[in-house]
Amino acid sequence: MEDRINTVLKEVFDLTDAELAQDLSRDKISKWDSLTHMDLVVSLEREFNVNFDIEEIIALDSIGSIRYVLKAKGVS
Amino acid sequence: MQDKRHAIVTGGAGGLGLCIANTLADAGFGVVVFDISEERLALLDGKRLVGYHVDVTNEIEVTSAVEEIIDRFGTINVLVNNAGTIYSEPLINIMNRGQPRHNFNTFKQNIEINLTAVFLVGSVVAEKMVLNRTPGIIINISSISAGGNAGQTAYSAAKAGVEAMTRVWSKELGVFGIRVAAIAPGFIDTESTRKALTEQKRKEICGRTPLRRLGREVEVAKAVLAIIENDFISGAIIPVNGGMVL
Repeated sequence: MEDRINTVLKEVFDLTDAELAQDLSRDKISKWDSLTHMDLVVSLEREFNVNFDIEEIIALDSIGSIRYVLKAKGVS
Repeated sequence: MQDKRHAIVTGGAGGLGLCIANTLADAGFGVVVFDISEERLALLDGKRLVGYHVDVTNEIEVTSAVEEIIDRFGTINVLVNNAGTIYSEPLINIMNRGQPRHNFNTFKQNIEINLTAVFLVGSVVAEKMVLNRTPGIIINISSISAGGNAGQTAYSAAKAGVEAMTRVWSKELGVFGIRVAAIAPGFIDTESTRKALTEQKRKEICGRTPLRRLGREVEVAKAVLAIIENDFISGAIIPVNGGMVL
C-alpha cells in the first residue's frame, strides 16, 4: 500500500523520490491546494477502488492520514 | 420521482425555459422549475413539471429550495441556468439630455439577474453535487451578446461573465465528474425577444442572419439535450445562432 500511495502522491504533486517523506503533509507541499486535493482524492479512489465520503476527503491531508483512512476502509 | 434523473431549470415556467423544461421532461427527467412568476407557475402541469417560486437572486430562497429538492427527490443531476432578462441601454445616450449616462441601478440590476443569479444557483447546486458525490451537468444559458452587442453594456457584460464562469467551473468541477457548458443563443423567437425588439428590428436581424430567420426555442432546447447526452462536452460555449455574427 505504501508504494502505491507514494506513486499517487508523486503523480498528483509532481514530486521526486527525494521529496517524498514519511511525514509529508499538505502544509509542506505548495502545490497541494483545494483543487489538487481533489485530484489526489480521485486518484486514490481509482488506485484503491474505494469511495471516500466528505469527512474522509477532508481528513486526507498527510501520508499518515491517507494510510489511516485506507486501512479503515479495509485496504491492506 | 425516485430512480429518475432530476433537472432544475431556472426561469422555467415560461418562454425558452419552459421549452427546455418540457424537452427534458420528454427525455425522461424529473424536472423542477424555478420561477419568480406565481402566475406562470400556476399554469404548469404539476405532474410533468414541479414548480418552485424562487427569486434566483435571493440566497436564502435558492438554498432553501435546493435543500428541499434534495430532501424530496434525492439528487440533482442537471441544472440549466436559464433565468435572465434581455435589456438594452446605451452607455451614453446623447438624446437623453437629463441623464445621458447609462443608469447605474439598471446596470447593477441586470448584472444581478443575468450574472449573479447564475453564480448563486450554480454554486449552491454544485456544492450539493460535490458533497453528495453526484456526477452532474450544469448548463448556463449565455447569449450571442456576450461577444459585445452595441446598446447592451449590462447584458453583454453579464453574459460574457457567464461564459467565463462556465470555463472556470468546467476546470474546477471536472475532477468531481461534473460537466459545465454554456449555450449562446442568437436571436430566438421568444416573448422576451418580441418585447425587446420592434418588428422592424427583428426583420433587420433576420436579414443579417445567414439562415434568414430567428431561431426557435426548441432549437435551443435540443442543444441543451445534446450537451446532456454527450459525456465528453465540458467547458464549451455552444452557439445556436443561425450563423449570425455581431
